[in-house]
Amino acid sequence: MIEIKNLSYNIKKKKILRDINLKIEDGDFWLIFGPNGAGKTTLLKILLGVITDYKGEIFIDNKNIKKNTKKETAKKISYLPQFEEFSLPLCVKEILLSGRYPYTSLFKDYSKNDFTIFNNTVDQFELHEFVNRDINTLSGGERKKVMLASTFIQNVSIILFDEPFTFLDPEAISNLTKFLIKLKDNGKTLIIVSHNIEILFPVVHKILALKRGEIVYSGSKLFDKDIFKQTYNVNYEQLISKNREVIYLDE
Amino acid sequence: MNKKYILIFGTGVIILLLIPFVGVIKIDFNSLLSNKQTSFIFWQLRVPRTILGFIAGSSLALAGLIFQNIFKNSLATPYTLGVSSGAALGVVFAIKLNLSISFLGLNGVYIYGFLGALISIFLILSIAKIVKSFSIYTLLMSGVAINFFFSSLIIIIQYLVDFTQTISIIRWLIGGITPVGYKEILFLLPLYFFFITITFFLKNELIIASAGDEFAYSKGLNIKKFRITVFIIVSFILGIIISFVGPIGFIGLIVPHISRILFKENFKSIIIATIIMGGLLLTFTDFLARTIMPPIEIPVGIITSLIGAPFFIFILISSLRNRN
Repeated sequence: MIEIKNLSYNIKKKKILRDINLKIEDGDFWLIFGPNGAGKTTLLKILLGVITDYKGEIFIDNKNIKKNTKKETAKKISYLPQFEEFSLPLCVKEILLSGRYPYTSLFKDYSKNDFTIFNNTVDQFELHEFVNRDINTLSGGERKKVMLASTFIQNVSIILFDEPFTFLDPEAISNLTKFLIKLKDNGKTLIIVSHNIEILFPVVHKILALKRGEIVYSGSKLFDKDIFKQTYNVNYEQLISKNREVIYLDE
Repeated sequence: MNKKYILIFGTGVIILLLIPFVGVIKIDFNSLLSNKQTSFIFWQLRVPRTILGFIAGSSLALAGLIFQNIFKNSLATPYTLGVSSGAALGVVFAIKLNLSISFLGLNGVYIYGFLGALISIFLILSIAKIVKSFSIYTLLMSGVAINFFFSSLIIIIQYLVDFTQTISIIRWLIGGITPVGYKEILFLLPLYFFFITITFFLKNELIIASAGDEFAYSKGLNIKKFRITVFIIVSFILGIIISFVGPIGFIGLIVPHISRILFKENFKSIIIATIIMGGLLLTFTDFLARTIMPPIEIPVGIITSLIGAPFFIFILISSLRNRN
């Protein structure tokens, strides 16, 4: 369970997040949406421990995350970035194995058990042909699969996604959605930042609408026109209806 | 993969064993055993020189590999980060003032080189602290700026010194392996083994660091702390190595690059290949440096750049072609 209490975050004097209060139960599937600059990615980075100079308190399983070591956090929570771009050649096997890094002690290499888990995951995700390849040579969908597998190896209960559908073709989108449902059925807590509302609305439990660092709405009321209009300044029907050739802005 | 290993190890051993025999004075087994003078040249000059070349070459290459990983940038080398120019400034300063403090029986120039490198590290870290960002961008940019600043200071000092000093300054700046004794080797060896050992211990962290900051956090590695700690340790070691052999360029850039191409699938192999090939490349180019135009010795830095630059462009073109 994640509990966010009075969370605020400023960069210099600019307010990025303002007084956020939120409770995320185990096994929940949350969609976070809102216009660019709403503070969505910042919120993910705070949960992940990248940003630590925020005001307020965050508890994961009743423990303040500031008191956790980075490895302890990584046993609970994992993050999939928007792009999988690597400036140096990086072997898929090594990316997958790094999912076991939170479980290693200082100066110790991966154990036999870690390799067993690795092998099982390679079987499960059918990654055999990719294992020894440089991840930069894979397609967008394949990279996503590798990153998901590495999260799986990490054995976390909470997974954060930042715009997971960017640059994916329809087949890869469909595969990813199916996989998300599978994760949900396995009891994982999923938090997804995305603009792809039409894909995610049918599968999520709860939504968090953010605008300029403030919560417009949080809860399980999914198909509410007002929330949508208030957040994006766009008519909901315009976006969801089948013949949406034009998305117009009211202002 | 085994074939590649055998090839690298094999040529390595052969090159290392043969190099001390060849030079202005040719040495064979008989004269080595019977002639006192040749045995002195062999054991007291050429063998330690070969060892120093190997240690320095593989340390420079390994430092390059580590910097590339922690800064996620294949152009991050001891050069671009300003550590080299700091060491250079220290040595040039020592030559100018004829400073000769000895430390543990070692030549004082080394200490000034090391102090110069320390100043570089200190400046880079202070800048990073002022702007409150230990990002790749900050470190690289301040490194480049410090590089330029120190280079101009070096040129000013060169104008002020007399002719013989200018020559020894230029020689040092190009980089060259000066004959050393076993005292220096014994000083460097523990450092060298320490360097290699920590690299293997930090293998997994180095892999994770190269995949990006968010990735590192999500796998439980405090990348900011890791990057700064490793940067300081490696720069310390570099400062010492550079004060011995001068700022020899290109090895820290080329060798990790070739190792990555040869051993894509395994970072451990990349580390091993970098250590061996870095050492071999410097011993071999040093061998060329003292045998191409006997009895003149060309500073080895010229040869590494002369061979290194075109070779690097060749590799770059062929690897980019393969990718597209």
